[in-house]
Amino acid sequence: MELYSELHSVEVDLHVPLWQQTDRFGLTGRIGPRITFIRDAMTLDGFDEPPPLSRDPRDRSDLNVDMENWLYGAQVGLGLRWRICPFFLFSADANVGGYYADIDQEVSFHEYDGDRDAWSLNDSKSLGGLFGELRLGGEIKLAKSLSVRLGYMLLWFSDTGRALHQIKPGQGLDEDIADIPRSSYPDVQDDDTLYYGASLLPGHQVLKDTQRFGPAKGGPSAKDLPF
Amino acid sequence: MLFLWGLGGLITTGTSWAAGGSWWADVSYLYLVDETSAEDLFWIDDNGNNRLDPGEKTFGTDRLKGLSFDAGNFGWRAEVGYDLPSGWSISLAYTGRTAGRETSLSDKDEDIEPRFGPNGQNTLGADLPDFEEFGDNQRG
Repeated sequence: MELYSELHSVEVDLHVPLWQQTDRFGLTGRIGPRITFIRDAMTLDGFDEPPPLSRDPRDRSDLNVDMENWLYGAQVGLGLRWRICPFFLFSADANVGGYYADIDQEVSFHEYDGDRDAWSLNDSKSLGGLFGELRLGGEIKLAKSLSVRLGYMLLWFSDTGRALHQIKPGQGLDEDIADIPRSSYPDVQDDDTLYYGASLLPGHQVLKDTQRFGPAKGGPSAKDLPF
Repeated sequence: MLFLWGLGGLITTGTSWAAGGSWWADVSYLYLVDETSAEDLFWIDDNGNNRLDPGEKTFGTDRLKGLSFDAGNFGWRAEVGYDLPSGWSISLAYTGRTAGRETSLSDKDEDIEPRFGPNGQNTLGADLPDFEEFGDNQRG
């Protein structure tokens, strides 16, 4: 069994400063459109068919499910930057939004030891959904031109079509296509999706944050560091 | 100045000051786990009636043995923006991730029968003893 998934998400944001305290603390709001594409595919090779459908105990079949999700939406969010000390910057970004989803499904079945032809079914579904994102980061300044930021990220979508969720009982997908009633075709099933994990950013992020908080009006800043 | 720092394939970015504003960018490397799992889609039927009877065990993906590899969960996020003199800014960001997994259905300890789909009938199935001998059963 093979599973394969892709995630691509593009967003354009307008950032508005909401609250700023010198270069130590800043709160920013943002709003903008966001488009996400999720492809999810499953291939199950060489499974046998349950009796009595199987005419030969050695019959083998392949099942492929390929899902494509286009999510067109918009988001609002908040961004927090807090320079706890000259060497450490804490950041938090949260976004929430809604989207309109186009979900395309393709299911194909191929029996390569039997005498039935391969077949495929296609279906699609449109619906609305919600999404949320949270990014936390801690940036450590290692040297004058070197910093590293370690973070944690969550990205959640309420309604997506995933390959493993499309196969339901009673669909009779292991029958001859002519014997499968239209009502038993695999409707597009949707479920939520959650991505979570770590992030790493090496480089010069300190410069960006110092600049975005404006000139230092007091207290140490990253620019004032001796190295 | 937006610059690339090539060190072992790493790309890092900085800030440039243009007339009236400044450009900025950064690139983060991600390791993202996909929570959607197949665990609720596998169940076993020991007595052949294609139903999960009370007391029968479910078959989770953690029971999948055999050849397996994890091809990812890696991704990256890139963002480029422009700070306006007013303090407002605009940005364009991309987040991407690719992952793949291949595994085989087998359980060498028990004669169990995993099937796709939650409890019900006419689910797709795989007889594990056959799977264990799949290499020998293929027709040439």
